[in-house]
Amino acid sequence: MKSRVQSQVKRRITYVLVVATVALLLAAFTCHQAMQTSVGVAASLKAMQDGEIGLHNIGKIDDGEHRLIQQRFKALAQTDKSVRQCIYLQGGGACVDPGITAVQSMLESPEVIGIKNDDSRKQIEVLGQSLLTSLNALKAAL
Amino acid sequence: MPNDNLTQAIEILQLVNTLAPAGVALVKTLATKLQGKTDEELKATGDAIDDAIIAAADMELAKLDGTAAPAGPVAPVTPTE
Repeated sequence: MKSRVQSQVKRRITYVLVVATVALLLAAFTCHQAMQTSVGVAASLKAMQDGEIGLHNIGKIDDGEHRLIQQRFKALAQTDKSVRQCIYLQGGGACVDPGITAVQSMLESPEVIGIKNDDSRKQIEVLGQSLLTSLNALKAAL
Repeated sequence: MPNDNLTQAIEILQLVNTLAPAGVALVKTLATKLQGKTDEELKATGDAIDDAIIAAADMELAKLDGTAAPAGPVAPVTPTE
């Protein structure tokens, strides 16, 4: 009788351990995937900044526009760090929301919409949309 | 590839059964190592890229303000009469 109860308890403990292990593995993979995607987001932001600097260097974005846009990039990078920190510490799609809001705000800002050179504006918008896609993928991964 | 994951999962379960609480933390570490880089390494990489963006923005703003550091040694100015 005692040994039957013991073996039932042991089976139950083993079952709980198995379920907990699988849940942990899944959670670890999701968080890890999110961290990998987060690095991709930072790389996309850098590519967007490099693109804008290149356009300014060849005179397709004037100094005034360039100043405001670079100030936005600086703020975006700081937001990106906060987003990554949030994902690292607690996870969850809500961590990404400030990043998505910041990029959308930049794309709708007077300094981007007001870029006088049409080609330059479109290039910045395309890069920005690519960044938004990365952010939404990151949110979906969490 | 799927069979490799199954073998590793079984090994991990065996470890959990024998090591209990310590095994829980070990499982998490092993799961991240399966992907090559740890979350800490990935975080550091992402943060380094963001720091580079901030530094580049500061450089661009300094250039616009005329306060960027010169690229090389500045030639001495000869006073004229």
